[in-house]
Amino acid sequence: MKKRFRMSLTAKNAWTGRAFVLLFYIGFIFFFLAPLIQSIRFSFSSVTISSEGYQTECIGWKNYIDNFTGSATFIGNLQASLLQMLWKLPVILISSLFLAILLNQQFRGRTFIRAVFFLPAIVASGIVITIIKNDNLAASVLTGNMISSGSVFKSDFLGNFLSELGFGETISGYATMISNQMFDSLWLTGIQMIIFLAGLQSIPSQLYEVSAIEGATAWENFWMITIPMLMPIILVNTVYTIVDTFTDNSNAVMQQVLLNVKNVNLGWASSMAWTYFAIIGVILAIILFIFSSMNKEPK
Amino acid sequence: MQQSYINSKQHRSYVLKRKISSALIKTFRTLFFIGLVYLFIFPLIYLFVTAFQSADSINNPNVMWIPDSLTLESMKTALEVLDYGKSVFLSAVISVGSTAAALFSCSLVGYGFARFRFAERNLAFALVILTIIVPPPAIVLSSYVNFRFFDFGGLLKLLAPIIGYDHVNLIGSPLTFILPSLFACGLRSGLFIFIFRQFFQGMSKDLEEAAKIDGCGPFKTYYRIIVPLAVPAFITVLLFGFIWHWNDVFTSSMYFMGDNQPISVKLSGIYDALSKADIFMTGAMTQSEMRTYAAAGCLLTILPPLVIYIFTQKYFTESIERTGIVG
Repeated sequence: MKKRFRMSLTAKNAWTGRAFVLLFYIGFIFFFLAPLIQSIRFSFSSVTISSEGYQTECIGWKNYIDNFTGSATFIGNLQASLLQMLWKLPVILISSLFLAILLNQQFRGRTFIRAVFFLPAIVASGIVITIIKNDNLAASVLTGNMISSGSVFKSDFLGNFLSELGFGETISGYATMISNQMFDSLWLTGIQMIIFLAGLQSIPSQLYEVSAIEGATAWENFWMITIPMLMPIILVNTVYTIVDTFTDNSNAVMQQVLLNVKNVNLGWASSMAWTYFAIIGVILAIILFIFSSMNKEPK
Repeated sequence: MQQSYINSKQHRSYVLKRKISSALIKTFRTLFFIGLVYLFIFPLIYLFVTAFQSADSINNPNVMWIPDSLTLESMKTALEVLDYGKSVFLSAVISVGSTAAALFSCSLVGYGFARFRFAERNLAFALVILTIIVPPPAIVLSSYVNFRFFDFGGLLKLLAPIIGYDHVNLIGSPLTFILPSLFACGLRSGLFIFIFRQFFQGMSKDLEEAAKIDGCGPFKTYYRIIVPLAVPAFITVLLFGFIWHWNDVFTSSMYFMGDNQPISVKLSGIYDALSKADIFMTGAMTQSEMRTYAAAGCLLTILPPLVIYIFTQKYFTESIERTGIVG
């Protein structure tokens, strides 16, 4: 009699699970972890590429120091993209949640409206938007103002209005900037809207039924049921939006990194990417911390 | 008691109030939707109008929405400048290949995460999240080097004495996208794993248990029972995967240089390409001509995903209800 190796049911189950996930393990090591580690190494060295291969020479923190002392544009770009994130995040999150709630209601023509609203998520490659926006004519058609020489959906109305009211130069400047980029932000809400919509539909309807019996208003429903139940999804969307805004192709820092790669300036480019990633990481950590402490509070 | 309330003045005024407020909400909503539909569709209409009219009528202030003359001139130029046939073919190979690979690998991985318990499951899923949040620029550089001197994870190094070379240059090949996707680590694969996992977790276990009792192995159960039931999730990922690969510029512009570029990268350089073509041709391309060419280029670029969306949007908008992408 041959002695057969037998596994317990749990162990068998575990190994089947590992077999399903195996592809990801291989991919993670070869296509993610290896480049990740190599990229850290690059950022500490000067890299030269030749036809036989590439040589790295360790130069310590020089690349990082050069980023901050050598090129003034890097710090400027960094500030610009941080500032952009600061106002884009709330605008995108609030408008996508608002749109998702509207789309979640019952009304005639809902399928058509949904199909149109998801259109930006489908068509909005950054390039197409950039090309349309740089078009003076499209801008003038939309604002009805033939002399306007800006991009599409630019409007200095809000800024002018605020400065008429006596607000300072900076405030009206920011208002103009935000209203100018309203179009982009609305166009960027596609994915977040879909995720919110899916989240809204996963809230059990019994909760709303109970609150209707108790006589709650829609406003109370929103703050007492919708928002708390959506908290995990808001977190997902926040993280997604931050990563998406930061890594968007039109982002100034990304452009600079890309330029450095094209000029085969790998060491410098890696150190820039890592500085940038470290900053994103800190911001994400802060947001995760805020969300987790918010979750503990209501008890 | 109740009877008297229903006919009372108080009740009638309550009903009236409700009616008025719901009519107000409806009106507001309709107006709001009309505005937003305009905002979302406007660029498309604009592209259509611009791409099919001559440069003269662009400058003519009397012509706004309805072009007075139709011309295919700009379409022709855009086709030429973008090298349309070649670049669309490359884009299609990248998008279709990687999307198919991602559907295969990410659904398997997602199923593994959703249904089986193993010691390192949570840690492994945290790694999936890590691949979502690490931005492409942080690793794209060394991925470039990785693909430039690619040895299939050391495999070619072992085979080097037999086949005579120890690395291949994958830069400029669609494999730079398809290979990582096949191993669930491609463009936004983490997000796809996430979507599949959430979907499978929401599915009932009954059928799988029945299949198990009937002696069906886990992999057979997966493709005979799970895959047919998860069609909405597959369509969502298919659409996202295709669109994201099609529109990707950052990673593509790293891996594809020179003439051999996918359509998105070509489009991003269309103004440069136009002015370059201009020097050799006539030397007198006006701003408005360039504009019509660029619009035609945009239209040509978004045409394939748009057609796919029009055909899948019914499944897509319906499937969201059932996917429960997050939960």
